[in-house]
Amino acid sequence: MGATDFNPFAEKKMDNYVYTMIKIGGVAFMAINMAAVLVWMERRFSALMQDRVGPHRANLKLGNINITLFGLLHPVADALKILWKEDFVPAKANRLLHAMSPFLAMMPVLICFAVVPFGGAVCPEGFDPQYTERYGPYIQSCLNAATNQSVDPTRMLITDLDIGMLLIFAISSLAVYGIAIAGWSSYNNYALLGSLRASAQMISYEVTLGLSVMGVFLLASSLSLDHITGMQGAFWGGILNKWGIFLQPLAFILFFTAAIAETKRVPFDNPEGESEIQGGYMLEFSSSRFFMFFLGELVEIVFVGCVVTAIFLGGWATLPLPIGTFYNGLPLEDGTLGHGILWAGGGFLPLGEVLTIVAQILSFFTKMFVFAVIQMTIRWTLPRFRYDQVMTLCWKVLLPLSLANVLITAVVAYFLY
Amino acid sequence: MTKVVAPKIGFWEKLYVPEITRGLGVTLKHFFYNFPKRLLGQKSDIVTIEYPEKPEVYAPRFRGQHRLTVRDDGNVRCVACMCCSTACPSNCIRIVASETEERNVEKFPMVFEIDQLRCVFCGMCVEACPCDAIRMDTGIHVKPVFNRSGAIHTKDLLMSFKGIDGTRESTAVQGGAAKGGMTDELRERIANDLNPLDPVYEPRPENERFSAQKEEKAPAAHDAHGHH
Repeated sequence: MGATDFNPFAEKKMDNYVYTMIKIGGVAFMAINMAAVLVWMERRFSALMQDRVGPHRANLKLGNINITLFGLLHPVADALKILWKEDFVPAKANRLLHAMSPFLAMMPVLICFAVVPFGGAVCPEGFDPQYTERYGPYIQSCLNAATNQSVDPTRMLITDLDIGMLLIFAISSLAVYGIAIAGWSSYNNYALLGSLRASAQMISYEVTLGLSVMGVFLLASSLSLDHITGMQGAFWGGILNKWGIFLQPLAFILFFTAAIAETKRVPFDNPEGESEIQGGYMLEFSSSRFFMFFLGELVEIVFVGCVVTAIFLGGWATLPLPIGTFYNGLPLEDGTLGHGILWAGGGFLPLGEVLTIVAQILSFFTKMFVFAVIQMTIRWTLPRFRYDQVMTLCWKVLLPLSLANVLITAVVAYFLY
Repeated sequence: MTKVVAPKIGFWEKLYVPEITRGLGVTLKHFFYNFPKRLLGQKSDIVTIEYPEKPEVYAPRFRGQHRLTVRDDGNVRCVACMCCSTACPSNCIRIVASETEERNVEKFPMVFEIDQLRCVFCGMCVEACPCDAIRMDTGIHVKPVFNRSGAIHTKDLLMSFKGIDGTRESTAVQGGAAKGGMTDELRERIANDLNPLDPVYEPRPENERFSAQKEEKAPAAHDAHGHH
């Protein structure tokens, strides 16, 4: 039998590398294509919000039939157009750094996807679920029926890293180098101004970003996004999932605000500042180099949606509403293993092994999609902050609040857990 | 220097989050109002004019593509008097006059060309014409061209356009009132001080949104006058 005591810091074996390759491919495909879909959504949703129609004329002509797909071909047309544009480099630019900076700006966010859990675990060898109340539907080990040995399950994330969130903070903070170098290497005052603003803003908000989720770490006693997600599958008094947003409502607002500031979108878009500094650090980039900045920003939206979903909205563990938890291999009263949804009231809806994992992934994507839409709505609702307001909000409002949140959570967690 | 008085912000507004949520609600209200109606093809708040598919109705006196009206026998009505080319402020009309005995007219334009790249669509040629031979009542734009020579409209092309009433003829009748040109409708229009040469159009449909706004504002303006 598997370990009876759950130890989140236990040593893990390497996953099957074929599965890992498939997962990397899937996540990369999802992230990039979600970004393309978000380009489309951004345009058409914002249009409907502003009583306009939005672009819907890009079409494929097949004989006399025009295929427009509600304007979904616009991102395709954009990408094709932008790749054929002139790759302009300013005469006095530092050519090496100018060429490097788009990669430096875009790669960190793609790396961060490695630790995002988009589904629960599967046990191809056979289930030996070791659920604890605290870690909800997080499967700790599987049981190989033939040899009666416990095996690590195949998890629906690329790397099951115990320091998942730490890796995210470490890698995503590297993006600021790409931005700073982009502005400096362009040899343009506006670009430099934009990159200075971006550097100051991103470094300032990183402090709040890290401190705000500290409370969630304390309650989960883990930095792994998979553990945190599993924890939220547990029920609160048997009626409501323990979503992070209920446990740490203030942390949610702080984290979400800081995350929007990190993505440098409205209302924190001073670094781009189209009306004052002409697009800031990406001013002197064209063609596919600009495209990488542009795509990086949209992938960041997807990523923020993923992290918020995993930390605060129950991730793959629960339904899009906090009323039910997906369990794969839950020991039922009649001695069999149940695969399906455990409702808040206590009922169990069997779905089958495969359908449960599909439902988990779909639930995760639904929540992530909703949060991408909310980020877009924020963008098309709020005006831009003044630069001093951005800094005041960070250092005088968000940071003290996040510190207070950590302190109170620590005291409460010390006495309750 | 004028002193800027900032509006007072209370505690509730200073919390940001509730007010931002309210703002998001306003944005989403527009979205959820427009989205299903647009999907079902119903009338929504969207103000965009989808031009080529659903063109906006032009004003009755819209000056667009020129046309040369024709006589009853199908020949050009123009008598090459040069009034239009003289009146033209941008010198875009080129006429080469010629004589003819076949038709019961002394002069006719052998060449009648309008350079649409030069034309400013002032309508002075129409005003100047004594024969109602040139009109700009086609209700369409001059079509874009791929080369400059395509923008020079020849006599045949100009004669091929139809007026917004669907005919190539003039509304004036050859021979005037004595030959039945004066109808009751025209008499009425002259009595009402309207230009008898203006073609009759359907009245332009008013945008409901804007007319509704007008109705709201109208009584307020009336009250203001009452006070004076």
